[in-house]
Amino acid sequence: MSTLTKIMSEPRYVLLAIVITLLAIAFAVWMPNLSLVSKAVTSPTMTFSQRANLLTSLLGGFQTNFSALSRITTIMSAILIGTQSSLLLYYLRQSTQIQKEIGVSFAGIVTSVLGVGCATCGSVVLASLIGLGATSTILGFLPFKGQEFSFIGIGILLAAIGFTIKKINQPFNCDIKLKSSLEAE
Amino acid sequence: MSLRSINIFERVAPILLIVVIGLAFGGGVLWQKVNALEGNNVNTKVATNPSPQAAAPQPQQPTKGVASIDDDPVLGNKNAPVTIIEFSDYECPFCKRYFDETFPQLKAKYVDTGKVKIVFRDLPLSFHDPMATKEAVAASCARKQGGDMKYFQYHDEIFKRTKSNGNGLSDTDLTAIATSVNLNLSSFNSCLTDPAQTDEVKKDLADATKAGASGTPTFVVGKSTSNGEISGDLVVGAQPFAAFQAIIDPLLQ
Repeated sequence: MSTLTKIMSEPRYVLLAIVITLLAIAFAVWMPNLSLVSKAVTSPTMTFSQRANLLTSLLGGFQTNFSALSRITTIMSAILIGTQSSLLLYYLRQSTQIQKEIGVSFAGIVTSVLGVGCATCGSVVLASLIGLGATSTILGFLPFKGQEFSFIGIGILLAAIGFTIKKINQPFNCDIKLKSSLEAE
Repeated sequence: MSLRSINIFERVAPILLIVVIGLAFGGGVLWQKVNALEGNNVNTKVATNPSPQAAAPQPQQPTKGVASIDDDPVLGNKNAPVTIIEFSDYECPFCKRYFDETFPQLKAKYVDTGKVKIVFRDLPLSFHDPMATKEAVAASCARKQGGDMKYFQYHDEIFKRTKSNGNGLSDTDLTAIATSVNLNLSSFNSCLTDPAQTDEVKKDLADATKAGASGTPTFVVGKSTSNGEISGDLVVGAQPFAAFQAIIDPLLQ
């Protein structure tokens, strides 16, 4: 915890965490309508105010298109993604080595995204992968209708943060060769 | 690794991290586009007995939704320049939220002024059945007696009374609503068991899947056409009124 506090007390890591948290929330809100978002970004006929209107108005979906539980898990996931990103950057600057913790973080992010997609009755991501009919069938068996993915994603992200802090706290040193192997050389 | 290259990496790492996140976002957009393209060629497995008339038109652009107004109920001026096709589930809590929060504003600003017409098509999700399909059939039976006006009276009463999530209304409630909107109960009850009504709901469901609906509610918003095929923006979820406004206003210019 002291490592986390030490890292997150540096302004640049706090700023990065905040930026990524906000981006993650925006992505979660925009995700059901990525085609509209890409239209706002790429359309040659829309004016700047029309693009801005569309993008900002879609953010209002955080209120209308999310249940209270979805909002809480989305914010938690986003904060954890932001925190983990800052910790990873700190660790990368220390070691310049990519460790398996990045894979765990990625798994946590992906799992959270599956759950975030359940903002409507369905899962945008699952439906894209396996079709609406199969998605409805699968979600029907789950007590929280897909919100479970958010819970699992949060758990994985917490684990990833724990692994990263542990790695950060490990001292960098050279392996000590055993005497017998030295004699063999 | 030399000290100099470590220093360069330290400066570049934050930018690299943000670029990676941006690429992931862009990858997600591309994924959506590819799936929209592939979705045109996927046969729906949702409808068990798809009607031969259920073939949906192919989208002209990958980011658009394309659907037909078919023979479904219309709210508003039939000659309105903009059409919203709403694919909805009567037991979906987000469909109810859209009805409670966004629909009144849409109706007041665009439907009642003749600028937009809303076409309601059914997309009952399996985990809300049997009531989701029963309610869709019941609303259709109301339309059979009193046309689109009676349909939307019944539709409004369902959304006002249901608690959603598949447990909102009972068979007794459906009869009570029929009484409240002055339907002939004998005709209504015999209509509820008519297989043709269930087939109509299944046809809507198949068309929704082909249009690219990935959940409920899903809307196709576009300019009205003479043949009733609407190619427009696909809007997924219970979006706020401001989002619909941002899409509709450019179409009215």
